[in-house]
Amino acid sequence: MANYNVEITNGSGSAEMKKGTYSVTVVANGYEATTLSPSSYTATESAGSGSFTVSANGVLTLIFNETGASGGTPVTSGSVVMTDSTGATEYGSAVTINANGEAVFNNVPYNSGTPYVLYFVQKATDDNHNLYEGVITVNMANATQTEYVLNSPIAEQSFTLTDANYAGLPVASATMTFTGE
Amino acid sequence: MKVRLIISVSKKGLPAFLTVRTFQGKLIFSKMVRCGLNEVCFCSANRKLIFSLMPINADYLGLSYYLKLPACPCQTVRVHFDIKESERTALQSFTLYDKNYNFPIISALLRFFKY
Repeated sequence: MANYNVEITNGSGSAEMKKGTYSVTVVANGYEATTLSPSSYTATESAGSGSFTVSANGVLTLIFNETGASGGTPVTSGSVVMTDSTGATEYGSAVTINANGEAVFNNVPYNSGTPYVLYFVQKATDDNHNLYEGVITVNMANATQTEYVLNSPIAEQSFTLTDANYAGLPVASATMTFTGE
Repeated sequence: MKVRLIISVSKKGLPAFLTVRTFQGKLIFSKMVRCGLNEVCFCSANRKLIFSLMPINADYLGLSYYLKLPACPCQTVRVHFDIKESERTALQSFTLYDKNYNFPIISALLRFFKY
């Protein structure tokens, strides 16, 4: 029986503890308990703190293509990053989307019973496709999982430029510049 | 009166400092105690005495007995000090984060087992 069980919620928890050295274990849905670091903690007579980390071993592959499903034409470059549910806070480094439209995230948590929910934001795509707007949500239930994300192809836009005073008179030569807002 | 004091102390409370005082706080006798069974002698004009034992190790709590001795010129007093571990605690705060992506773990349980 443990001397103390400390509940962790959103990364934090605390307890009144007697001084001494303790071995520490973790129960965390989606994570490998053996990866807890450090594995011991020494409490003194004074208030103290301890920082722990734990690791998972799931692999998630995000495939960005023109259909958002298997078989679609993939994008050929870009990047995507893990975030919080709002997409505002980024976690870790952005992962590159390769020439097959794939971005692989290693060491992600998963759980077959209650899937671990992960969030991502696409940062960039290739010149021929539109970026996925908003937050990508993945329910990670399996150790290895693949999800598809829609990047619609850029549609061709056609323009005419005519004289404003002589209706229908085409402007022989001009350059129009379009700047994104 | 002459007092023959026999004290026994639970081992975990040793070494400890023994004092005998009047109820007014006047020190009658003191001694460092290192054994579980000790016998000492002292003289006191007061019958009302405080027998205190304070472990050197702060992890254990001191203990005192307030006694009124019989009106006898010579007597033997036996006292057992059952020393207990201190219940002092301090607030310990913890964080638990994903090692690879450095985000806070939504829900988990950290279990602490004393060595």
